[in-house]
Amino acid sequence: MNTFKLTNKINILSILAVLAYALLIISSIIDGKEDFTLGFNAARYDKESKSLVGHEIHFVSLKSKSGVAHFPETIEGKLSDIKYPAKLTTIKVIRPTEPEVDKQIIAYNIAGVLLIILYIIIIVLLPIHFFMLIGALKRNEIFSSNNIRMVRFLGFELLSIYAISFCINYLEFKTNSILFNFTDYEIARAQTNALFLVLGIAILVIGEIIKKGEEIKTDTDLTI
Amino acid sequence: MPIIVNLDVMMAKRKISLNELSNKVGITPANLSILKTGKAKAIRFSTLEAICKELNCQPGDILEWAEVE
Repeated sequence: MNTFKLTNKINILSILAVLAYALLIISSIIDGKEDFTLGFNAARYDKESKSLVGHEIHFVSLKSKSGVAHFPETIEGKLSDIKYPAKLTTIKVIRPTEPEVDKQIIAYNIAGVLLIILYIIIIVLLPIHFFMLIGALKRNEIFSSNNIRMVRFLGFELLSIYAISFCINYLEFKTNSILFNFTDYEIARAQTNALFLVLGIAILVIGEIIKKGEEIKTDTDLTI
Repeated sequence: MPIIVNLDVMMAKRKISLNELSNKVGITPANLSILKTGKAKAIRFSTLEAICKELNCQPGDILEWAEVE
């Protein structure tokens, strides 16, 4: 009966995990659809001139040059004639490809592409390792060396997601600092969501708890 | 491990096999083998009592402490 309840709980949790992960992927696709379409149509390699032609899209984070209380823009009120102060925090810039300019940022672009490839690999591995862990739990293997390994993989994958996002934001910041200049704003580095950092550390702690559990189980199994 | 299990010696003296002893004591042959080969981490008093009763010996006849250098 207890095993049946545990199996049911694991089944429900695994279904919820699939739905949550699917929702995450779908919402990322929907949020990024416009950017993807812009980027897909923006730049292409021209064989004749042997260079990128078209445009590149840049995502730029901004902060006011004169401090947090400075609102350089204005926006008209809809219900009155008053103009309200406003400021921009993120913008998208379409920049035509310029070979001489692109040469200066090529290193950042290459690094960015490599990081994105790594990011995609981790995004694919994360659910695989998670469902391997779920499969082991369904077989009633809880405190095993394989599970400890899976949990550690999950922890390091989550930490890697944070690290890669941090690096991508830094590369964007460096690229944008080279390319753009604003009168009222300075280029800012986009904030990286520390949730993955916290989750990764928490998962690694759980891994250590499972390791301790494995040691206790071994002692119990070898108590005659 | 400093605790040496001399179960095989006592079993030879009493001329009893592993399977026979495991049936009489009420533990599996696999567990008894773990104990005999010194791989066990601990032994319950109830198990020790059952073994001593079947082999008609003292716990000291089965368990021995030797300093590991």
